[in-house]
Amino acid sequence: MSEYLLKINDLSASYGDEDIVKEVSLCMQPGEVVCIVGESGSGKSTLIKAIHGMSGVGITGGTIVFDDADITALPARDRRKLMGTGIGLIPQDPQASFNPIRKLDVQFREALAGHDLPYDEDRIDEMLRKIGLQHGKAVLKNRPFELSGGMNQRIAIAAAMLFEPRLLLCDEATSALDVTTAGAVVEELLKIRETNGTSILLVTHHLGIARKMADNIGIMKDGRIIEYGNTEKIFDSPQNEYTKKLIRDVPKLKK
Amino acid sequence: MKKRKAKLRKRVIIAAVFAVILVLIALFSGVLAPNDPYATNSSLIRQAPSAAYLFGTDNLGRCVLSRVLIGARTTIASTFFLVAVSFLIGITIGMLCGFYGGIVDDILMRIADLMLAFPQMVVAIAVAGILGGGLGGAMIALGITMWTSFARLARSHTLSIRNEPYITAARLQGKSGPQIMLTHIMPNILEPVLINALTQIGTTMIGISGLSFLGLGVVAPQAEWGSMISEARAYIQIAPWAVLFPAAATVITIVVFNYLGDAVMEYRKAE
Repeated sequence: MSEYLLKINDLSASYGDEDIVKEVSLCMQPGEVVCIVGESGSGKSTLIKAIHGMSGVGITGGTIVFDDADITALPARDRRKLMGTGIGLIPQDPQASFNPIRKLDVQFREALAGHDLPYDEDRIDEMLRKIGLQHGKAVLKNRPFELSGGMNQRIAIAAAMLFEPRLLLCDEATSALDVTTAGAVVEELLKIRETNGTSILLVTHHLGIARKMADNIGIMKDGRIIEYGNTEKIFDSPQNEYTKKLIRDVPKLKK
Repeated sequence: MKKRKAKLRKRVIIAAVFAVILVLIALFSGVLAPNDPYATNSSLIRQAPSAAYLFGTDNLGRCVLSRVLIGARTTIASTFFLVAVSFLIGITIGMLCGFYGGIVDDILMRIADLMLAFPQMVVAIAVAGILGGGLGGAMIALGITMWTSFARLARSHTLSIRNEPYITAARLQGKSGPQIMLTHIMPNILEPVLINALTQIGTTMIGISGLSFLGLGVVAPQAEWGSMISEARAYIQIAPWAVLFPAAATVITIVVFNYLGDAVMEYRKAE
């Protein structure tokens, strides 16, 4: 077994004509947290989707190696087995990721049954409590549209965490949360990393979260990772002009 | 806006109440009918409406009121059955087309186009003629074109939601195509298709009564509004009530169900 859980080599991905992700290479060790930071449209989400193997995103070049197995062109059936427990995903738009007219507990039950996992109400409740959702049992009796964006997001986070994936992909996982809740989620993600050794690949435009969570940070622009390195190094002595600008542009409370 | 919605809701409720009353009349027509609708009486031929025979009697001395009531059962029941069957067939085919696409979609939709190429009634008359009359034949004749509207609607709505993230999520959970269609797609497209079914009830009723009127639907002694009108129109100048009452019943029922369909549709649009 190699030391890397995820190895991406020169990955290019597109939705049709033009490559959105261009020759991205990235390695992640077990338990490592990597943040990809960049502006909207830089290809961050597409990178996540390509790794996750979602339909609609075409991989035009390069390879993705997960746990020493090439999963670039894995047939759908085998890929499904990998999802959830192998690679988990916290989607960008959690509300759309639940069926709008079915109650959430039913959807949880189904998702867990799909992986032959038991539906443990207390465990789910505890997981929801950890990320700041009290009365989890009652909340799950609702339909997605009856809950707020933040609640949906936390439920989606809990759903992904329940499977204890080895690699967790977070696509703007905290974008709809207030600062306090986002903090709680970040804490919980870090705790999961500690207890389960989960690797986390986080896509965000929130530099604060990146700084707090990440071991390594990649700055993405126009589909390429233009700067990659240790978090402290990136923040203390950024090399690239764009990175400097990005860090400078962070809104501050003090003038 | 709120006021408008309340007004629309009132319309839906009023229409629904009338529709339910009609359905109840049809269901309990056996109890409500004052006389035997099939008993002929040569001494009571073409009696004008009176206290004993509220709607008068027809050419064979049968009670028109009883026949209208029993006919309601035939007309409304066959309409509901036909709409329900077309709905089921249509929504299944529509979902298959929308979900799988490709060659399945092409073949089934071209068949649907073929059915829609002719006016519905012309196809129905031709098919009913070939099948040789009878209520079953009339229903098949109408159903042959009717499923297409459900299929098209279901297909377009399936297309619009098939790429939603929750469908992708279900796929990633390892759900099979039929499972996804049943648990995720159907509940989400049900509403527009059901409303379409509601608006189809009126037209279907005209279709069934129309075919019966032409002698291609319900066969003679059985009471059905279309065939009653057809029978009685021969002596309309002597006994107009034998035509007027079943005709009025047909018009009222169609108006009520069309109104209900429109009201529900407008109410949903206002949301």
